[in-house]
Amino acid sequence: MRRGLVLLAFLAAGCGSLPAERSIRIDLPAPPAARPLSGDGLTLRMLRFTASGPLQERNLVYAEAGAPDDTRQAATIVWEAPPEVAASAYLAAALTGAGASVIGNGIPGVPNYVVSGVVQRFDLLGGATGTAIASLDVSISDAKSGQAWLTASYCAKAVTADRSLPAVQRAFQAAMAEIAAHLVADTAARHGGAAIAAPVPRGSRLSSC
Amino acid sequence: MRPDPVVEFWLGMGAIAAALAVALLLAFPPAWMDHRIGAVANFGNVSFLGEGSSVSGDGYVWGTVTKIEPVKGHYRVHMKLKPGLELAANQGLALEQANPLQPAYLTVVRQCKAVPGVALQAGCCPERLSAASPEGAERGLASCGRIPNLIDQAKDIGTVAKTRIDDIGKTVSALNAKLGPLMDKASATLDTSKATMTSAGITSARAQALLANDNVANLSKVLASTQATMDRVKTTSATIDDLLQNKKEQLDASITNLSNVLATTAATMPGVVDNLQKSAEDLRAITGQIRQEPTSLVRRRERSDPSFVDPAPEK
Repeated sequence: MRRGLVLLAFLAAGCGSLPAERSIRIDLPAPPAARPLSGDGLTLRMLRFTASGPLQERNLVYAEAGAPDDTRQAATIVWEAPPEVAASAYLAAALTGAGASVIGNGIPGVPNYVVSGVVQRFDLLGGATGTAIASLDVSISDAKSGQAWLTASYCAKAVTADRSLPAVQRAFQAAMAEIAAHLVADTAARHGGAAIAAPVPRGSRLSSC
Repeated sequence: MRPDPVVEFWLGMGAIAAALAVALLLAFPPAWMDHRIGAVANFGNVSFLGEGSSVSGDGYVWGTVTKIEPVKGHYRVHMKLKPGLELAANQGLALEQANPLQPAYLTVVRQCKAVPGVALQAGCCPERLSAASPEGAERGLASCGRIPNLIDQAKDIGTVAKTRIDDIGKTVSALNAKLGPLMDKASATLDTSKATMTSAGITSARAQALLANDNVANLSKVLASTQATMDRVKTTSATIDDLLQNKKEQLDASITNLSNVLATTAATMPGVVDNLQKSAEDLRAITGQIRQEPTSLVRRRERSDPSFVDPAPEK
C-alpha cells in the first residue's frame, strides 16, 4: 500500500513538471551579391548592443492579440543568444557581407567608425499567427572625434507563416534582414558623401511599429 | 519549659538588628575600618574615567577611583588603593580604555624607550612620567597620560595624513613665492642683455657706415656679418624673454592650482574618513537586511508560453 502511494506521488510530480526549453535563433545572413561598401577602406568596430527590461533576457517576449501592451515572457521559448547580442552579430555580418571591414567587440584593431545600438523591440505580437517585430536604434560615430556619423532608427515586421517555432524564427530573420538592408544602404550612401535626409526612422511598415 | 514569648520576640528583633548592622558595616565601612590608602595622580585627559573606575597593575585590581577634580589645566584623580602597591621610579599610572564601549580604567605601566616609527608597546607609558604632589594623607603617584585606543589610532592616521598634505601645500606655496622673484630676475637679466645687444648693434652699424665710406670692402662685410649675428642673438633673446614671461604666468597658475587642490584635499580628508566609516556601517546594515529578506531582492517574473504558437510537446 505504502509503495503504491510513493509511486503515485512520483507519477504526479512527473505530470506536473514543465516541458523542456525550446530554443530559437537568428541565423547570420548569407553574403549578398552586391558589395556596396567594398574597396573604400571602411573599417567599423561593432560594439555589443544594449537592451532594457525583459529584452535583456533570453526568453521570447510576446504580447497576446487582445492585450498588445501587456508584454510577457515565454516560459519555454528562449533565444540561443539574447536579442542585443543576436542583433549586433546579425548587423555585423550584414555589413561585412556588404564589403566593410568589421572588427568585433574586444578584438584589437583601429577602426574608422564605431557602431553601437539599442534594441527597442524584439517581440512577437499575437493574432491568428504571430507577427515578429524588430526595432533598433543604430548609431555610427567617428572613432577619433566621437562625433555622430550616422544615426538611424529602424523597425520591421514580418508575419509568421504558421504557428510553429521555425516559422517564428523565419519571421524574425526576415525582419532583421530588412533592417540590415536599410542600414547597409544608409551606410553606403553616407560613406559615398551623400547626405541622408532624416534617416530617423527608416524601415517598412513603420507606422504600426 | 516554654520560653517567654516577649523575650523570644525581642531576641528575634535583636538578631535582625545585628544582621542589618553587619550588612551596613560591610557595605559602607567607616573610615576606621577602611584600611585602603589614599592616593592621587594627575591626568590631562580623563575621558570615560569615573568614580568607581578600577586601578589595576599586573592583572590585579588594587583599588578604585574615588573622585576626579578639575584643577587648572588638568585633572587630579583621587583613588583608594589596597596596601602593597608600590610603583618603581620608571613606573606610573596610565588611563586605558581597551574597549571603546566600556569605561576607562587606570593601569600600571612603565617608561619604555620610544623608537620613532614603531607603535607603542603594551605596558609602556604613552607619555612622559609626571609626578603628582601628595595631598594630606594621600600619596602622590606618577602618571603618564592616556593609552590611545582604536578610535584614537584611527584619528591619528587621519591627522598625520592631513598634516602631511598641509606640509606639501606649504612647500608648494613657498616654492611659488620663491619662483616668482626668480622668474622676475631672469626676465630683468634678459632685458639688460637685450639692451646691450641693441647698443652693440647700433655701434656696429655706425662703424660699418664709417668704414663703407673708406671702401674697406672686406672689413665692411665682416662687420655686416657681425651685426646680422647680433640681430639674430637679439631676436633669440627676445623670444626667450617672451617664452619665459608666458611660462611664468602658466607656471604661477599651475602651482596656485596645485596648492589649492592640496589644501582642499587636506580639508576634506576627515570628511572622507567619516564617510568611509558610515559607508561601512551602511553596508553592514544592508548585508543584514539581505540575510533576513533574501526573497525581497529576487525579481520573479511570471512566464507562460504564447497561445498563438504551438505548445511544447509533453515529455
